[in-house]
Amino acid sequence: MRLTKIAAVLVFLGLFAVVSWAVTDYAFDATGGEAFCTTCHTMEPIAEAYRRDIHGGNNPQGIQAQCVDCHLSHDNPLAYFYTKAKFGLNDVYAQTFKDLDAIDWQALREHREDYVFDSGCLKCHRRLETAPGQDSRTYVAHRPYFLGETEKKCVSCHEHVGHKDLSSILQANHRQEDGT
Amino acid sequence: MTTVTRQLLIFLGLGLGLLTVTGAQAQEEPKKTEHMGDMSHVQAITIDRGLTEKGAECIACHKDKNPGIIADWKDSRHAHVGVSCIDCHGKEKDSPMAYQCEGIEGTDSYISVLVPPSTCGRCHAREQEQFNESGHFRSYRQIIPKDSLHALVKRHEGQDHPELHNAPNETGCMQCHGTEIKLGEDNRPTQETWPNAGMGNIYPDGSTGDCDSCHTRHAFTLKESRHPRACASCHLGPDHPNIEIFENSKHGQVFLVEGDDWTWDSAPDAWEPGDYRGPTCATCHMSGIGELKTTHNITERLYWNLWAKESRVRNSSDVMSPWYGDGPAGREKMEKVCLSCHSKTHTKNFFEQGDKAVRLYNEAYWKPAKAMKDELAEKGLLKENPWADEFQIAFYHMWHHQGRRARQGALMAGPDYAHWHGFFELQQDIYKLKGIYEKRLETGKIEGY
Repeated sequence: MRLTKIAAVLVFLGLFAVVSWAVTDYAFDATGGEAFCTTCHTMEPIAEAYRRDIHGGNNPQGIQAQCVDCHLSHDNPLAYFYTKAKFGLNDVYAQTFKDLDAIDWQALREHREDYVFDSGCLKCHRRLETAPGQDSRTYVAHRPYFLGETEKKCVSCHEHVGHKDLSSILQANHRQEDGT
Repeated sequence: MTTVTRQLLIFLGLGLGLLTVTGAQAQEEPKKTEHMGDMSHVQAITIDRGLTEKGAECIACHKDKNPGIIADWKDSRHAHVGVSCIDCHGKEKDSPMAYQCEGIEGTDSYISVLVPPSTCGRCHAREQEQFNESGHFRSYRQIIPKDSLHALVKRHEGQDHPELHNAPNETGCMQCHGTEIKLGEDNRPTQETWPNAGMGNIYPDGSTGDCDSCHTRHAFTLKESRHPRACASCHLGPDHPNIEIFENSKHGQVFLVEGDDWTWDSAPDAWEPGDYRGPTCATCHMSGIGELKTTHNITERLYWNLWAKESRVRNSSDVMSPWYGDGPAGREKMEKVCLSCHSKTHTKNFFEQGDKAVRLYNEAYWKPAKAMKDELAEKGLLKENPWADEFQIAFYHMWHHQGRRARQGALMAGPDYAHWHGFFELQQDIYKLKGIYEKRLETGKIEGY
């Protein structure tokens, strides 16, 4: 009788773990890409620039990085969860209480190091340091980074990565809204 | 064989022979337009190793249009690792600097003639970071707030000319100090702000500096940047004759005699005594010598500020401050440079000699001259136009010309500049200043015209 109870509890815990993992994973997945992120209208120009970029799937293989692949920390699951919660709450707050037209996206791009995580880049480009067949300029350019000789992050140099023509799209969008 | 056939064969044979001869002549005789340095005719450049398709296209076109640029580049280290035109000159379409040259019109490629230090810093990250922490960083930024300097250049040198007042700046100041590079409507840099290779340029993307000042495009040779001439195009003349002081020194003597035979292109940090028998500017101020690491912070090994009106030991972490740096730490590093070739006694005594000269300038020249100037100003005995006032002109020459020569000559071992161009002139200045000062106090008037 007692054994049955223990077994039942274990089965329940097991099922609970599997179901909550599945729900969490689904939720994370469903809230990590372009479709979800553009539920906020303000993200549309950013998504438009993303769709034009290699990272947004504009490549012969159709491979697409998701928003969260670059814009959340991938250091460890806790860091991932923490940054997701932080940026998520910030966006909900801004969307609800802030004057969205007053956001200077162009100026915010100067702070891109705060919104893009090297751990994200290196999750896909994980063998960049020793990648076979890379040309010499790529090798030389990344030397100081992998030797730890520079404070720079990926987007310090790759300042347009992920969003092609973002400045002109933002400007066009701004003009449209101004009716000019 | 019929006669006709034979005749035909002879005719063909002769024709073939003639063609061969003409062909050979055509090969031997150079084209009339061909001359040395015109790479479009001397050789075709086809590189299919390590270059992107775009990069190869730029080279194919510009070898005809600007053969000098391609000739420079093809010997460079950049060419060896496959870094070509588009890697540095390429711009995103939405960059404020982006435009299209004829060759790329209608494509999705954009370029600029401007290559900001941020571009160099993509590969040379550490070098750019060190530069941003050096005195060179403020070369232009420090003159932005100096109204008296702008007045000198525009009002006095430019004579407030309605159209041409900026000429002295464009052809003088800006070429060494740099400026804020502005863009025209076509996104190309304006005539008023470019070309220049000024050290402190502020580029339209906000990054500061100009790597090209010392690493001249498009060869970027190690030899050039380590050679005293890299510094000499700005560090010369009456107000900071650093190249002249160097040539006057024992270091310069050895360099001028033997420099042609030295090894100039050892790897960074590995360029050590033995490659050279005497130091250049770079050796002492920048190079990885002994245990010291190569640095692009040219302030790092300095003790004094030797160009300010009054010399003080460096003691500030603000890169915009004239006292920027850690003097004692800087001196310790510079002593390590000296010890690669000199004994401890030699090193210690040398700096004690130099420091005495700096202190003498501060105490015997700067302080009394400043006190006289302040008193005259207080009593209304200085002309409004400093450049038409004997006292103020002599005062300026005292600190800005001879005062710097004496101090810099002393600490860079140039005896003629420490003495004849330095302290000799200084004593003349201080007597002249005293004379004018006493006369003005006595008469209550400003003498002269």
